[in-house]
Amino acid sequence: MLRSKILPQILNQAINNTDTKGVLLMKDDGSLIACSDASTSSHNTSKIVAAITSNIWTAYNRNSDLQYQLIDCEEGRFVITRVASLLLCVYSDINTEFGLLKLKTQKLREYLEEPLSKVEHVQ
Amino acid sequence: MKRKVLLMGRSESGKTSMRSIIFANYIARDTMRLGVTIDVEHSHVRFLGNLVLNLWDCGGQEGFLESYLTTQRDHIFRNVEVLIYVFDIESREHQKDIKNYKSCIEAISQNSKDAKIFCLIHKMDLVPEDQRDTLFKNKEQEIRQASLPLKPTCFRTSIWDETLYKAWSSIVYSLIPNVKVLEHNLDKFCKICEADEVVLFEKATFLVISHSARKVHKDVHRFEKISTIIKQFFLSCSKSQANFQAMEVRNSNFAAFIDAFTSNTYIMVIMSDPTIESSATLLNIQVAKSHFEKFINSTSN
Repeated sequence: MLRSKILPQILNQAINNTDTKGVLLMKDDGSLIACSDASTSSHNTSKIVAAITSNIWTAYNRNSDLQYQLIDCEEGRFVITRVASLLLCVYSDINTEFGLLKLKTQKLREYLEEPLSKVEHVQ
Repeated sequence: MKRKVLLMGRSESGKTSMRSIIFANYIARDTMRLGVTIDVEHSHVRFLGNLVLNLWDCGGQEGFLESYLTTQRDHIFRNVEVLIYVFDIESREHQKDIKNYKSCIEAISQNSKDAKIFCLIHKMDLVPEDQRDTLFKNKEQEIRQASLPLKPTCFRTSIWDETLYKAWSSIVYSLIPNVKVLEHNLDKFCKICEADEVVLFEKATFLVISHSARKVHKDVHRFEKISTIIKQFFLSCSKSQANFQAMEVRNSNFAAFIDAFTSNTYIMVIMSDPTIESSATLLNIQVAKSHFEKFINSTSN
């Protein structure tokens, strides 16, 4: 089972008010499992981001071989990847470089992959 | 696994009505069309999968009562796990009721001395509210005196409110094998989920089988209230041809998740922590389902 209280704290490690704005863990259908936002963004933003990014992921993931997805928008940047059977998304504002975002996502993914795989229905 | 449950009491005391509401999905108003029970009506109620309650609804008319205590004595009173005796609070034949009760107690102590005895003081809705407590206490005293050396558990009930569910939940709870281990597992589940409270209901009757709480709640009667409310909702859904599967109720203070759990139970999880997302809790419920399914099936074997 998931320790739903601890997950946001783990995700919070990636947050740094100067660069990352939010970290989300969600299911393929867009429903949020856990999220952590920087003090500047609101919880509602996270829910909207989850819904839209999961949709974009599933749209591009034609052959089920998509590893990372980087989205560059006018006012923000997103990196999405798969962890066990969930989706992990790290997003920031326009000033952060993609390399840093991707590295953070990669590290979080490695850290979470093993424990999350052990949870049924998430494998 | 069969458990024999005797339902006895004077004629018109409400035995068949109670049974119909709890086990046959009647609403209180539907019971008006029930007639007199002739001799003994047997029903087999499946509870929690493998547990079968062999319910003997014994007609309460004088003639039948005579035959139960004489010719059918062994047949009726042997191998009984639970005796439920219903007292009608409005009855004018007070002394006679107690006398009949005493005879039944005698028959039980001779044939099934380990049976659990529950006395339901029924039709409490016909008593003015301010008199209910005192009346119940007096009646309870009287019943305890009459039952010696056996010790019954007394409940006050009415088909028009949640007291009916409280009494029947307690009765059924006493029949579930390994209920302590079930509660222990539910405690663990509650802790891992970080839930305020977790309640397990039986699927068909919505009687509370078990519960676990991390936060103390001031309303002691919440379980039966929830049983009544959810059962009514469930019944109105089926009347509109809609199949009730799951429900999430959320406000600024809490979120309640009611979902089908194992093949014979429903679970209700109350969360008051706003940082925990609905999906996380739903996922945990999913994960726990398979674990409990195995466990409950082995419990009823």
